[in-house]
Amino acid sequence: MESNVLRLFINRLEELGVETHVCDSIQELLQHLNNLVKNVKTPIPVVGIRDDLQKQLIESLKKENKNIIVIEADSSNPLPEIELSIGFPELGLSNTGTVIYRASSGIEEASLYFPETHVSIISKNRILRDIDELEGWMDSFLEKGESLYFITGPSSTADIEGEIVKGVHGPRKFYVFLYEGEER
Amino acid sequence: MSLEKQVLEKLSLFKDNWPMLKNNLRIRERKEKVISEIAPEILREVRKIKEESIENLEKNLKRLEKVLEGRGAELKIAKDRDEASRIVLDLCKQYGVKLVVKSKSLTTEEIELNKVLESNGIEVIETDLGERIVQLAGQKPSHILGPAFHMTRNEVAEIFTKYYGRPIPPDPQQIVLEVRKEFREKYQRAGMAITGANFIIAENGATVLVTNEGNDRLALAFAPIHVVIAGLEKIVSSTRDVLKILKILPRNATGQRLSSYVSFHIPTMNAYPSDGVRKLRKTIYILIDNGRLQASKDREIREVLYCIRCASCLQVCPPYNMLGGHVFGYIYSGPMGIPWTMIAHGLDKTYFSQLCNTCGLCREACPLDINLPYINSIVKERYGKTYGYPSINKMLKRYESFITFASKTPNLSNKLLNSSSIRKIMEKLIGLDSRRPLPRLAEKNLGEIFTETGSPDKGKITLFTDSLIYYMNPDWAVKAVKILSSLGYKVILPSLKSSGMPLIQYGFMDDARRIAEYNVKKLYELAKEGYIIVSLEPTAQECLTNYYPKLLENHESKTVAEKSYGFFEFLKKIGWSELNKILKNLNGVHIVYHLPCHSRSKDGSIVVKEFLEALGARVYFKRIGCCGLAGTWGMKKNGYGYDISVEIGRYLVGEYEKLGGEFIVTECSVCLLQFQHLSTMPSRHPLQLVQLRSDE
Repeated sequence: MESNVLRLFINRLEELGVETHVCDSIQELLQHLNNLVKNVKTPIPVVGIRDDLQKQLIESLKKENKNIIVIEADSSNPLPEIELSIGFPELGLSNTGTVIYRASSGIEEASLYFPETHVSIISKNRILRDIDELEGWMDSFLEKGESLYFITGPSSTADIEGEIVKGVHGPRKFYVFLYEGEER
Repeated sequence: MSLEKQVLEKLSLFKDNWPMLKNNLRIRERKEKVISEIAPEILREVRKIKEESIENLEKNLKRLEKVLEGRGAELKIAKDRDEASRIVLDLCKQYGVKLVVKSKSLTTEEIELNKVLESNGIEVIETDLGERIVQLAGQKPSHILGPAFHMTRNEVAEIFTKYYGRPIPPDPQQIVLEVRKEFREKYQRAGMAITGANFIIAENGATVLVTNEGNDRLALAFAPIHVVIAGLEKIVSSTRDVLKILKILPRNATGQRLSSYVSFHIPTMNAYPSDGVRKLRKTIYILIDNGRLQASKDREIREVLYCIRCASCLQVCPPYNMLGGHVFGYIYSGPMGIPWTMIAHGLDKTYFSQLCNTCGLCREACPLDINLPYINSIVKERYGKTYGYPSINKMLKRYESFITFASKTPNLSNKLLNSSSIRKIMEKLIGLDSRRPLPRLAEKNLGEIFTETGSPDKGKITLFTDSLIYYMNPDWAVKAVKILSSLGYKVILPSLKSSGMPLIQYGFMDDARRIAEYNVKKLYELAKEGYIIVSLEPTAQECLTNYYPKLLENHESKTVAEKSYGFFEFLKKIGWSELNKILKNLNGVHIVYHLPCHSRSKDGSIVVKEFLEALGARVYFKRIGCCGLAGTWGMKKNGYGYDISVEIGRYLVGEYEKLGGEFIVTECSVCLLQFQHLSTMPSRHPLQLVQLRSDE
């Protein structure tokens, strides 16, 4: 991964008001996550788990916080009130500060957008430079029937006198944690 | 209420506050940096994508139909507004839907869906904050991206105070919190989510939605039924096409590199398991024709179907910024609203098109280079031919005869035109506002004082002036000729008609075509003899390069366009260093430069600013936009032009006066008239400022 792509990604996220942490180890990532979720009283849905490292990470987190629930596309229990959710995006885009999720159910969508706070955990190796690089990659998901969601910063509106206010519908607070993980 | 009364009412409401303008200026400021990141080739590529999408509309529709069938989604085509609303109502009845959550969709505004659903007892919640505000206020959106841009925070707070039945402070943060809280319950309870679509992809059936609030996501997350309502022109061929368009849409719409939420929804989602049972979400696509197919075959206006709804044209439109979409619009508003109203609601609803002053900034701002000023003149023509042209415009159509007649006795004419009683009569008979100072006729017009001059060492030039320079300021043309001959050019002044811009402006296209034919014929012959065409007025140049080729669509007009330059653009081609040899410097002169709307050099540079700087002047420049006068448009009485024009000019002059500088300088005679009328700062044509060294 080119360091300037990563630097740009972090800069863009910061411009968007996203709190970003680059973690040098899984322990550090876990520590950050624990700090963030320790005071959360409601269940914490987790979406987008794909590999063993992510599974282990969530298992470790579960030990500290019993509220963690893993959401799959076919989960059939409605969500209770939720304050915070965690997700593993498929990719990031540095030039726009975007993370991209895939989903194929309303419950995954609700997990991503309903809470006040969302935390994205993404491997540094999954950051692309710009939107053009998604050609082809996206088709494989869309053809399979999976929807793709791009998130670029917190939910915002400027509908009243042009003043930018965060959190009108989707998450108001948005965190991104970067770690050394899976390759693309 | 008459259009004129609506105009005056809105101007008085917005006076000194300018909410539409200020919101749009904020967006323009944000945009400046991010749109410069996009190479012109990308814009051309996106234009091509849209051209091909409309060209292949029927093929893509068939492809989409097949894909959606395979994915278990329904596709319905509605031929008009009524049919579209009826389909939605039937669906609500079929599935027992009592509450619908809508995510902003201009197309559902077009079909006025809410009225139909609400009159049948179905609760409809607009989930976009701006849309919700206007819904509660019982109004229509005033802007396609900021539906409530016309309201102050106090007005918004009053609306929510009334709605919630308790005091809501005029604080956007607080208001957002209240709405957020309320909507969470609505999302979970809704039986149907209705969204628009920024695009629909034919190859995989994805609905692409672009928002900043995320209301579309939450509406969809919980609803068991998703109805997509979109115009047929929203279908594109591939995901690749959308990725290209996304590079320019958010940048141009809101000044973001990407909007907060962009989603590619595929209609094979598991619905939210609100009852603990897993089942598929039902998705129905309703694609609306409502005039689009006819428009796709209409050569003159077809390109408005390429519009990606970025609202760039609204952001720069001077009359729209003073009035907002309730007056400058029907449901679609602003410059793009004129042809879109004709397509979707009928020609009779385009009466507001006369508020367009044909400044052309909309085309300049449009990332897809849609020729909106020309198309809007075509709409004005069709309206005029069908329902009659406004009588003031019919009078002003004969402007050239008035000037020619008055110029026969310039001293007497000037005296009469200065008399307030004569002006009152003119206001009544012709419609020229008596408060608008008129330019003074020169004692001798350019034709009378011009002598063919210079030797063709470097080349031969034919001048193309317009009425104002020809009759009112011929000495500027004389100085221009001196400069050109000093640089080694022979200059001639052929007998041409004035540019015909007012005819184009008011939609008298047959008359404009006759003028274009006359001028092009003469200029083409001269071009063939090796003459370079140089226009002294930006508007004359705009006619040669933009309007004449559109009006005539022939080889001659295209050749004339290619061979013609604005005067200062031509000087730049020669080189500023050559100019410095023959002109005295302007060291120590502080200038506020105003860029006229029709000054468009081929290389996109701001030529006169460069010219003044090359001569050593200190130039202050702020890109705001049109001066507001726009030829005879701002001379029309009251709400027909004058009052809007003065309001546009007042804001601009106020900003210019803050910049410092001794003069406002601009190369357009019309803009100068506006500044002379509204500013305490003196204003000058660049040719009034410069002096030839040989004159020492």
